[in-house]
Amino acid sequence: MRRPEMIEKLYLDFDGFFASVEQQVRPSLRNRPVGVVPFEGTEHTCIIACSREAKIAGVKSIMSVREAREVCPDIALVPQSPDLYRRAHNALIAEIMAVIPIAAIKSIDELTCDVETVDRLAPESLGQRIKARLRQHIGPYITCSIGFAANRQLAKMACKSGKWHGSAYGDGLAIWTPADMPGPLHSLTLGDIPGIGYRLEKRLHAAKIFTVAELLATAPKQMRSLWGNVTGERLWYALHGYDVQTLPQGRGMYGHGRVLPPGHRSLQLAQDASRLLIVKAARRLRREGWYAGRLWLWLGLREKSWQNAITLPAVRDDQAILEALMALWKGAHTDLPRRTEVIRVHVTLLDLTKADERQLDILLDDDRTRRRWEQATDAIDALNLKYGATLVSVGPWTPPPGGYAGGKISYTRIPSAEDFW
Amino acid sequence: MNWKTDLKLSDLDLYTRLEITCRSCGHSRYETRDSLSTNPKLAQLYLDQIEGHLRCSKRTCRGAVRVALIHSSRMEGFVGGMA
Repeated sequence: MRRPEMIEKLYLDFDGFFASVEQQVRPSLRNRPVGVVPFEGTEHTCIIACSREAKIAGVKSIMSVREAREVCPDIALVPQSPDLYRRAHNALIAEIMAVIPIAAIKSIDELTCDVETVDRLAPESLGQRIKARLRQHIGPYITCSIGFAANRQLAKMACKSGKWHGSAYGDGLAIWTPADMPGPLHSLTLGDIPGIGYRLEKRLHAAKIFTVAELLATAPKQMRSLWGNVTGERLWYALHGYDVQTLPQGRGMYGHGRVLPPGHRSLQLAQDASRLLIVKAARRLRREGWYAGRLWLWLGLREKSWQNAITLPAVRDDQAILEALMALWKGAHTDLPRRTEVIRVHVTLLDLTKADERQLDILLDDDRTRRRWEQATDAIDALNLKYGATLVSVGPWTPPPGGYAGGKISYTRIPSAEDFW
Repeated sequence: MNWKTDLKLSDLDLYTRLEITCRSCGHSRYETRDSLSTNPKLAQLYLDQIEGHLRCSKRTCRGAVRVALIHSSRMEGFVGGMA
């Protein structure tokens, strides 16, 4: 494996992305501690992103609203606007691409680039060019931190370590040259390494590994054994400055989930919400040319959960998917008391096959029916695409309160405008 | 001045998707370089000029639009928490 002798990767992470976009767009929020919350009107939720002012005051993401108010009484809470963040992301990516090609977008606020030979000797200048471009063309309130290192993992860690400088937060720039390594790693804790979570840290402690220096002193195969898979070995090589990165994973499922607001938690309303969510997941499935072989329904109740799955004969049309969903709901209505309160609902399409790899079920002679429903579904999709809204749907279309159903931003997905229709 | 002043429609890959959103009513639609290039007036223009030429496709609106590129093909998740 190659061990680069110069900086080869750049990692960029926007500082408190959702909150800084809100500050850029809404002048009344500028220079104030801002916390973004999933929805308005309830204190029983958590902060999903906070501005640099809030971070300096001690607020952290995933902190409960009550805790955040205790730490920072003058925090301004704003409900999330996923469509706004999505549009900001598209504009920011386009501006960065005018400076340097992007190798991979890792999430809505993180990306990585390969540093060209000409910039390897002066990475600081490249970092400043990107920051200046964003300041000039997007605005000064959306800032980013940049890390440079020999591989993506180290660049990400450098980026994170550069975010705090003294008591100031954000707009960081950290350069970890291979010659400096492993010096900067020694000031970190195990939990600072991406990929080491609470459970893995406990496993490392059980193996008498408490510091990064002790982790670096292990052997690659020992790390593999501790992790129980190849990721441990890959991480060893990454921490030792080798040119290693994970391979992109294939698509495994399409799904949507929703926390239902109080007052909309009956079985019937949860069923209506799940119907809309599955249609949105099915649209994404079709857009990317997949068929689903299984549908899974999960309901989060007060004390427990209920779940069931149904096998599908490799389908992609709304009629087949909705029929399967209704069969699952029939089971839920039978199993659960009538007054059950459903807090969360998740629907997922699994066992995906590409259109050209699809195998028909020899015991089920429904190819002609499926083709007709696929034509009908394609016509519905075309109409909705043409008019930029859900104009036609199979059965009722009842969006749950709170909006943005199916438009949730996750680590692996940045929604498109179509997801909000 | 922004990224749109640097990029011509002909610089894009044939099937690059452009999201066209109305600044007045918020209605959005999608076009590809291929579909926009069928209009000879647009084929050699920069994206900011194209933005100026396009209008909202809603008959009752016809407002000015905003053009954005869709970058979903560059998306690559974390595997085992590694970048």
